[in-house]
Amino acid sequence: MLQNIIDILEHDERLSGWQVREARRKSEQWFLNKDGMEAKRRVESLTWEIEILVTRRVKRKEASVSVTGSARFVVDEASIAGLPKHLEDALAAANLVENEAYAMTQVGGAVPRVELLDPEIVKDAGAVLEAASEQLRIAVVGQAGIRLAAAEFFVDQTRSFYLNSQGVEAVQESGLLSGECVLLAGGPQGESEVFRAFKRRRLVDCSLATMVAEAADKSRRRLSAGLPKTGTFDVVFSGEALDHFFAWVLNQASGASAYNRMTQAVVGSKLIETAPDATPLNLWHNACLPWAVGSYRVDASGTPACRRLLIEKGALKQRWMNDRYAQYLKAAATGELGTIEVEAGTFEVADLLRPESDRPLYHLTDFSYFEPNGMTGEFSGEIRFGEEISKHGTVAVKGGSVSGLSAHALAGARFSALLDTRERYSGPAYIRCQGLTLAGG
Amino acid sequence: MADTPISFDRLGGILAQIVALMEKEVPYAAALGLRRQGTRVAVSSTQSSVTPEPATAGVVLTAFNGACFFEISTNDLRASALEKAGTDLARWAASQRPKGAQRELDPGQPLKKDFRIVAKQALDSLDLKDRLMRAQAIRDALVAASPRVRNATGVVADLLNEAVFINRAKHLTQSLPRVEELMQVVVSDGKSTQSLFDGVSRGAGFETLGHCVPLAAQMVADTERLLTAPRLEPGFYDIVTHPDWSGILAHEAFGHGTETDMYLKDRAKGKEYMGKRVGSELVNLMDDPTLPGHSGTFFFDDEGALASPTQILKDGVLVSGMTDYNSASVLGYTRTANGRRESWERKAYARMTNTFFAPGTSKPSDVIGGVENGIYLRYASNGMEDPQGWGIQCEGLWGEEIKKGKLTGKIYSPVIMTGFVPDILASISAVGDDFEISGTGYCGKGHKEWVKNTTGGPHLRLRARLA
Repeated sequence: MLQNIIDILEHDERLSGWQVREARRKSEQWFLNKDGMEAKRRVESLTWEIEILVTRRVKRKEASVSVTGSARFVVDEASIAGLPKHLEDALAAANLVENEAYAMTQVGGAVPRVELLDPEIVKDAGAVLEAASEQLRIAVVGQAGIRLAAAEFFVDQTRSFYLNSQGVEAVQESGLLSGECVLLAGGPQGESEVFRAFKRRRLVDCSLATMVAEAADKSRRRLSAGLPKTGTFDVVFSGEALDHFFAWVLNQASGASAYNRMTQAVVGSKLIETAPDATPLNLWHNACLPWAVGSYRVDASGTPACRRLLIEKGALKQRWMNDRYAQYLKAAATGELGTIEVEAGTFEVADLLRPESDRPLYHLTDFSYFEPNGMTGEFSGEIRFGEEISKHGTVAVKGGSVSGLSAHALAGARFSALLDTRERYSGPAYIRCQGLTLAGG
Repeated sequence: MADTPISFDRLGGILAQIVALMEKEVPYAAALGLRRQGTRVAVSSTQSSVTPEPATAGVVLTAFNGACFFEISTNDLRASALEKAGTDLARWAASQRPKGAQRELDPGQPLKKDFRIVAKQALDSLDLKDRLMRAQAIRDALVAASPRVRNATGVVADLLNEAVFINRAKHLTQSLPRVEELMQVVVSDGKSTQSLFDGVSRGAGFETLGHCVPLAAQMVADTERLLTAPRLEPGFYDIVTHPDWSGILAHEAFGHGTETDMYLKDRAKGKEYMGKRVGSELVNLMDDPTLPGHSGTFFFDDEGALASPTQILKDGVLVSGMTDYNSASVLGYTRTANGRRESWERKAYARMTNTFFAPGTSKPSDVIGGVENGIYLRYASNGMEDPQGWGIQCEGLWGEEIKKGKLTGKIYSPVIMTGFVPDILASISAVGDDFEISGTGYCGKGHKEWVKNTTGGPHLRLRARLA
């Protein structure tokens, strides 16, 4: 079928470019409810994602300029028979659009070999699910006063074949083990929940026992947690708080955001004015990291995976962008954003978690939702779990919120030497920021 | 005859045969076919796109073995492939059939019916060029409103969702058109950049269009006011919520908390509070998939339950949850039509539809007029639930000062509301007689499983922690 599609696209002289991605997906899904199984699912699909380009000349203000219209659509086995009509509809759509001219990705560097598919998943996805649920069960049984409320496991395999009109060809086989679990700790005042979601390419990287031990500890401590104080305090972030911590930086470094005027940052300019005693930010995009969820061989536009320094000592060194925006901005394409690598700092965790005055320090790890605004850098999050650390000791906190501005928070931030690797983040495990606003009791 | 994919319109027949075949092996079987197609047109200051989405379809076959649900999902719609999937599924489920007591599932009253929302202006009544011009008009209205606009986007999108559900009692089909008109603006004064978003999404046809252009200039002016807006001093405030904030509150406070699959997992405190007071007697909360014209509206859910309104809170008392098939069966609750899937590739969970606070009796001006010192919240952006801990987080971009019952024009941004849900609901001291529904959002279950639903209500006066 793929060859039929390519033949049709190749022989249509009205197209100035095209790409097609055939994606064959398989998924096994298990849903555990307390000690029992609620549902098991198997999913299979085959789709073809097609994009066409039509570049033509149009008259604008007395000058003739080149413009490109594009249309992207997906067909499945039931609709593939209608491909000629879908192509006509796509052509009609593309001919209505007059964007700045661009072409499909050209053959560039070599497509790297990046490990994305665990042979264990290929061998027996069901056995991986069985092993994962057993690991989880054993880990929960080992935690006193803790029970499993629910868990979900998904094992997905995708085999995709990418090909475009410029001759770029790539096969990519990938696997993903994702899921979530909810632990409940019981106490005199009721129960307390901690929710954990995970996504890795291999079961071994999920570290389910460690995840359960950490979540169980928080579930127990949440039972007696109180509100944080209201005011301005130093805050140390770790754990899931780091997943989106650099969202503002990444938006400022995005080629798409620059082209669409969502950022005013200029390459070479300082995004962060690092304070003398703070850690300068060095940040990379890395789509080649073995077994990382953010890794790929080629992105959706056919750009090979690479590792690039985006932020150097707080200054914007290079933007991450796909091939289209690279052509627009006359810069090098990095491909879609991979894993965010942040250079570790020099600080010991114990030093970062030590209050420097009579004021308490807050160590916050779990939020209802925490992601800085990509445009403004402002952030707020309701605290699900944290610690208030003072000279009187450490107490658990929950409720209330922390707020701040990314540029200010990062300017004074100190990074731990200890590293953490999360779903799409690899960098310091602890980041201490100065003077953030807490709203609590 | 060639083994070619079966057209979606004729799927019902083969699915009925497969369900009958599966029920020879398991006590309950069902089949759901879903098809979607549409077009999205977006015009911004920097680029445009016209994206036709041809019809794609998939099928979910379900077999219940007395204890556990088994499903196979596929987009291979050849008869032979579907029959093989049904056979494999029935054997899979039967092979893991438990010994001892088993649950029975009620297939419902026999019904064969085709449901359809008839749009006043059908989805084929506007050609691509007309849609592009509509989106351009929104973009142009935003750009014309201020020289500080750096990027403006207008979107016109349509979608047709179709479903066929089969079990031994039911053979149902539905056709649900949806049209969206959206706008977003980015403004900058050279130092800071801000953005606002608005729009409308309706379970209707192109009669939906025309919402954005009249509101464009005001939205740009509002966005410009955010450029210099400071953050609020953290603390407890008397608050009046615009209907968009009331909707987020409804959704996060007692929407997720009464999805009964969460009861089953002991993940929602609501289970312990059924029949008890959890809010002020002014509070009435509904979930209603029959609400005409809204984008969370349907005739039957993804597990074949016929749509009907559910009153969740009545005069502040928790009276009902929202069920999926499994949780209703285990808990013995009345089935409500809330079993929904993100797509044919995903499982059904208990999910909201159109969720809102019912209107009260106060004029909105009186709701604000009753506040001596407080904040008026608009432009809600997102929220997150914590049904087990009854915490809540709602965020938005607009907090306007209220002094002596009047809006002063002093704006704070962004604003986050947090608190303990029963405390917030108990603090509601006035409920407006107005009513608005917003349908531009999607809802996740935890951090995934996105489905379309709407939220809304009247103006509310309450007290909560803001920062």
